[in-house]
Amino acid sequence: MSVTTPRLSGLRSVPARRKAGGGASRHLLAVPALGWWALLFIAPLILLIIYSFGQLDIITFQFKLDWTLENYSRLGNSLYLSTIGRSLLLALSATVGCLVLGFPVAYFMSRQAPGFQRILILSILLPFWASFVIRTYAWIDVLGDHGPIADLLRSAGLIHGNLGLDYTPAAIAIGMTATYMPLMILPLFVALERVPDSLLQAASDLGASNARTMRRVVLPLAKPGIYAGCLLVGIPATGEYVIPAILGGGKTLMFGNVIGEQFQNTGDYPFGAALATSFMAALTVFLVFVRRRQVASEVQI
Amino acid sequence: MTDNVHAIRLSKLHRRFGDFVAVQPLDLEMEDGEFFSLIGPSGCGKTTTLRMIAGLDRPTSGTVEVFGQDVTEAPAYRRPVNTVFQNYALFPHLSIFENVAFGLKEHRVSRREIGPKVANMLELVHLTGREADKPAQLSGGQQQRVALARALVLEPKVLLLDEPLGALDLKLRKSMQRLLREIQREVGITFIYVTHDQEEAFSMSTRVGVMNGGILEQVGPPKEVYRRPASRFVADFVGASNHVAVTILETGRPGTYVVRSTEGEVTCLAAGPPGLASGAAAEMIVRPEGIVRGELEDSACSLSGRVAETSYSGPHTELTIEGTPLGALRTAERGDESTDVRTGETVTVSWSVGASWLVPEDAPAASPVEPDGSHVAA
Repeated sequence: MSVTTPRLSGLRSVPARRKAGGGASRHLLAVPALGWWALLFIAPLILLIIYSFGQLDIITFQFKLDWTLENYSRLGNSLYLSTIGRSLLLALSATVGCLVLGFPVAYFMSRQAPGFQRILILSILLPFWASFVIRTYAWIDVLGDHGPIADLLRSAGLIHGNLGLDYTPAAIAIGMTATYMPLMILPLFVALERVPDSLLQAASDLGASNARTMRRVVLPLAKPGIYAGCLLVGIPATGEYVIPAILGGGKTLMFGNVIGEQFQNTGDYPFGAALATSFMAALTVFLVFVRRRQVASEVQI
Repeated sequence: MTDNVHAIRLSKLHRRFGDFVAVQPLDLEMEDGEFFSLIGPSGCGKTTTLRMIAGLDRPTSGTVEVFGQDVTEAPAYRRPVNTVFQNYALFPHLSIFENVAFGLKEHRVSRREIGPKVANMLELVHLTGREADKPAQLSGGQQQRVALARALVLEPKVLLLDEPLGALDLKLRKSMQRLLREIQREVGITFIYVTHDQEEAFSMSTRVGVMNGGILEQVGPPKEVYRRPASRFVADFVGASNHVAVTILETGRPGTYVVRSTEGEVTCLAAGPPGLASGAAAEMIVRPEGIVRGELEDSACSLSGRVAETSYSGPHTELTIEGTPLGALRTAERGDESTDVRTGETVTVSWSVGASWLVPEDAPAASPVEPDGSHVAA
């Protein structure tokens, strides 16, 4: 019998293996898992990448693999560049919105007694149990010219006439902020909850006002949560498809909609594949960069 | 500085959490340069009192003055006192240097001055060379010293220490006690030290305050608190003792009384606070180390009984003597003097007046309050 030491951080540590018989059978055990993984994740990805180098015969609508970069060169079209720019901007707004609005909520939650904390977490997760599409449609009414916000602002004399949010990029940003909020609050909460009260008291004892304590103690210690929350919100928000389709009314499109368009309406699979591949590549580069910085900051702590 | 300005002056300081009285209104003054310890069992209110001085907790009523200045309403960051926390509370994301410099930056000390100040302080706590390390790289004792340096570098008028050595092992604790005393002498400021360890408090402090159930039962130099406890609780808390229920028969020389034990009808001489009335019930406290075998020339009480148990602890041999007219008594003798005693042997024991102390029955009986707020019959 060979014994392997279980490690929690399997990524960076080399498992201690002993030279012994049974190694082959142990590897056999991994076959089903690896098989599924190859079939469901790797194969489609490879197909997608292969497709992105092919072309569609305009007359026969047949796919032809001729290893062309034609699809990638079409990305330079200002139409797509501006969509990419819009996607990034909207995702960034949603991420910043979630961070700015979610941080105080997460901080408040982190300072409560455990029992109350559970109730608060539940109340944040509760909306998730309602259908995502229904919630998104509800925002049309909420943000609409006859919705509660418009009524309130009108009666307060702050606006005259319409709110003008219907089917605008702002509506998409608001909708995404609301939808992704729990994904920001939860990692922030986990990070903030680990900051003991005694550190806040020590900072105060040493002369730091509450604002200074926030800046010099709470925020630096919340950094891993801020990173995690921003990734959890930012990445899906960049590729968001449903929210712009509903709240943008088909007028304001994000990158995800352009990709969907290629597969569903235009039928230009190779170009859609090229869009998707380049989007993934860009995100991967970005993530590796962020991860490096995150690891560096964790090592410092 | 005028003589009547106290480093710390607490007036009618009171703290309740809902129904639970954490600190009964207490008055306490501490002098400049004093090493004052607050001791008591957990939940007695000593830490709450300290936190109210630090500004980390708000009193329900009463005032806190630091060198004559009323700071009751001031937040912690505006008080000229600093705290060393029980769990150190070092900032994990900052280096040792940055931890010690934290307060200096908040007090707008120029960058040029911060360097030397931090270096001096790290030298004082023997941590020179560890500036760049993170707290997690240090041992518990080293972290504690960083916490001390971080508080002292601000040159507070009063340093508050909340069970700072509680998490350290015995040997480390002893050397930290020495270091704390040295540092206190060197900087000359008032230290207020909270601990549940009476030995630690006695060996370090100029004065101690004993708290129980939110009440400050006695304040005085360690020797006085040990030899003349104000209540049975204090007598028990600050060391092992024998106690015997007695009735006061008459007053002898000032401070001495003739007493008769309620059980066994033994008449003894006993020391006690002035003003005890004849006929009053009292508790006679006799420290085990005050009891000697054999008959003293000036013995205040002399009894015989059977040695039921001996236990040798190195410096001391403790004997349990049963069957005396006062019931079982515990004695403690210097280790090598009692190697000849065997269990079962009948011995005579006695003590001098100075080894006894009377605590009146109605002495500040702490009304014990449980954490849930219910009062327990004493």
